[in-house]
Amino acid sequence: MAIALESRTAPLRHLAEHAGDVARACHAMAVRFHGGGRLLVFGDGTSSSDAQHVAVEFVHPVIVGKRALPALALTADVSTMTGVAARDGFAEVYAHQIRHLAAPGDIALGLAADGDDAAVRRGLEQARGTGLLCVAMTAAHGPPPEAAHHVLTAAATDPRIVKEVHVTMYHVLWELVHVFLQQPGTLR
Amino acid sequence: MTETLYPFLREGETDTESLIEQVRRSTAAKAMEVVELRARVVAAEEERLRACAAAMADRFARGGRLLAFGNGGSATDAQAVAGAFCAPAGGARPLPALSLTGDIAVITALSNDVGPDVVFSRQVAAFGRPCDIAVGLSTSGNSANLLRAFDTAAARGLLTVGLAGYDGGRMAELDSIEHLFVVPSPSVHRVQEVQTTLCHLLWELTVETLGRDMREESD
Repeated sequence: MAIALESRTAPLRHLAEHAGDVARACHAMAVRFHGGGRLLVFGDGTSSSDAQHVAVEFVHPVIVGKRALPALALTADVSTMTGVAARDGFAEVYAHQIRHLAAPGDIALGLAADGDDAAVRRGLEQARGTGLLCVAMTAAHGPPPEAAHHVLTAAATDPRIVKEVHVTMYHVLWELVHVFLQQPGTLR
Repeated sequence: MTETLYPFLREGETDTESLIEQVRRSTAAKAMEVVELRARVVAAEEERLRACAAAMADRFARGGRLLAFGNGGSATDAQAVAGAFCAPAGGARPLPALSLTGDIAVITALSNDVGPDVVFSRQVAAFGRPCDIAVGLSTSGNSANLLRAFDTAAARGLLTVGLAGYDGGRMAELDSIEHLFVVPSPSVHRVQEVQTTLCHLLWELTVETLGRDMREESD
């Protein structure tokens, strides 16, 4: 039996139909970068490796000549993560780092391939309270995080397929942020 | 890149709303480009994906572990492969998998004391057993530390699985990669997106094969 890709095609069609949401999120992110903001990225499970993938996209662009933009994955410092998790519970691992590392002009990007994720939700709540621009990548199931200014939903419930859509989303995110940054007239 | 992908843009000429509309259209086109590229690669590689998954299932059935590695974004993708096998969503049976990119003490020690070319091969030498599986991810196919790791893995009898982009680069020239999957796109991003799906398909087919073999054994 041939490998079926339909379940993987519909969510990308959905992304194409909602590409305007991605464009608006990128414009808002470019405004923050233009003002000196940094990007803080976080997520659990395989979304934690996506958070690190996003950070390296921005800090060390694959396209030669693109400027490095400040981005930091909050999943990479195992000492801080396990310290906070053991003391305050896992749901606080990102909120704690945002409380102590973030400035109001920064950007928070939370990825939740599993839909609802307590640590990502808490991280976005803390970020919103601190004044950050809040962007969330989520799945079709689970409530959209209320703290996010921009919610980019992958229209799937299988976390593997959700993740695949998130990878396309954040690649586009990086590219479009640079498109807007090269048009400073749009960043006022 | 902006100049080549968005030739209509010149500084100072664009208002925000029309730029948002232009990038909206380019984003929609990219999403459909992934659909097309993925369908083309999966159709071309289907039989080889199944053969690779059968070989992986055989290794896991013999007590093998999966070792994943890559550089940069592919390092994080290697971690995601380990997570997908070892902590699968949805209650599937966890399979032993380890990313060779996760231990910063080992990576920096080897980089600092010997050089970046050995960061994966030394770990393959330390961890790898003949029943294990080596999975290396690259977009260029040219990373020296992956080439060395595959040579070490093959010499030790590990099953070797490679993912590359473009034309496969130097990975396509190696004898040490038994199962190589090349995503023929000039875009690093599209390559990584399709590689993510290929890794998930390998997981799905491996789990399916293991489940079928276990049912046959119990019959």
